[in-house]
Amino acid sequence: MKRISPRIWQLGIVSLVIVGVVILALGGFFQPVIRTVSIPLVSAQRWFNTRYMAVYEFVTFPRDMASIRDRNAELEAQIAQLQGENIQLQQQLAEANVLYALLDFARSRPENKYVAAAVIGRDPSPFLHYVIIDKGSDDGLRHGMPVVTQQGLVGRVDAVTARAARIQLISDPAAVVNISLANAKVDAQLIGSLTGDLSLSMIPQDAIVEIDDLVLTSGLGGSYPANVVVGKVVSVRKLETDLFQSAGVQPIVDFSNLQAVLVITNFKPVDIAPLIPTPIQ
Amino acid sequence: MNYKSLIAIPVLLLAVMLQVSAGSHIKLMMGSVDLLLVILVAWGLQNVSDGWLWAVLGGLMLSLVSAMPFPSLLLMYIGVMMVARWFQHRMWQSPYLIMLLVTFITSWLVLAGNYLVLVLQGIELNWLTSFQQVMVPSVLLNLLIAFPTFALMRDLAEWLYPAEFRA
Repeated sequence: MKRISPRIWQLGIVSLVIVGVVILALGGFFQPVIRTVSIPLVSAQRWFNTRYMAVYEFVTFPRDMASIRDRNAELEAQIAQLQGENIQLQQQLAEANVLYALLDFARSRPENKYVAAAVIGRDPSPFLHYVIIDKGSDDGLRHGMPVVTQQGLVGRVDAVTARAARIQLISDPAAVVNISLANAKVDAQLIGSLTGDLSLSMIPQDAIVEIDDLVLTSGLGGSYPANVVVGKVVSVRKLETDLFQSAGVQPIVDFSNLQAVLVITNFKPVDIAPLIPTPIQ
Repeated sequence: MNYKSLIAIPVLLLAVMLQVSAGSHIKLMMGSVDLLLVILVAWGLQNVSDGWLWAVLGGLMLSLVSAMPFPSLLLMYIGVMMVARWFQHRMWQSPYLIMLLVTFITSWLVLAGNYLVLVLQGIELNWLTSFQQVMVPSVLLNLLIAFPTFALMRDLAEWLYPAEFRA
């Protein structure tokens, strides 16, 4: 009988031990041992990993910083662009709101023809109250045409070029508008001033004028159409010694924030200057 | 005067556009800044010879947009240049002080000129209100922008006419 070599015995025993260990491990008999051994191992691994990551971050930090800076600059540029777009959209929305309001006003008065225009500037002289609009004779504007907003009377066209026009506001010191007081049923004159305040003159002494009375254009003189809202009375001055009463008027239009206006193009102002009698020399 | 004087056209155009759009919104009481006047004063105080062209062009441009009767603004701005040139010939050693002085004098001249022209046209303007609400604030605003405008115009003049500044 052939003798079995000691190496084969050794191999067989080792294999049996390994299989036995594996079977014991699969059977969960080694769990307490593994747990006991793994705790220091995991701690050591954690310690090693933390140090390694620290070293890794230290080595790669500058490159990350550069990429973060680039990304930051990119995002900042994007934010700036979006903010610009946002402002532009807000501006367009504000303009659209003004135009919608003007459109509503124009629809409510179908007897008039309107040309909408944007206010693009103001007279450089601090003594004068004029605005410049972006529509001119090419759009049908002519000298003397009345200008309104959805709120009320603004003024009239003073000078026209092909693509722009200058509007004299009713608050200008040289502006005079014939008005009527809705409640008192009397006519008077509305006069502008250097400070932009409006006042009424030529109100008969017997007229009963009260605070908050509505001021409308009378249409007399042919410069403005009748019944356009101008403002309301805020103060009344009546002195027995004066021939006429006077009153302060709060304009319904905010002249300092005019953005868009409507020019009434089918109203032809009448020049009554030749009809005014001149003294015989 | 040469082709370099043509720079007056874009500079003055920009100034008039700024004055009509932004300048009239920058208000102190009822006064507003007169950018064109300050630019003309600043240019007139430089050692350059085309100041008159600047005054005429500026006056004409502003007359186109303003409701002030023509040629009152043109004449006033020529007057502004006359004053600036007079001071430039005599007192050139402390330019910033002269800038303030000439801006002060010419601002009053132009504002008083505006007032007179309008009163002569028959417009009722209260003198005290005009003085307190319009003239004094406008002069102050003009003085506020005098220094930066002078520095800008000096740079422009040095860039355009380096030979005159070296002399």
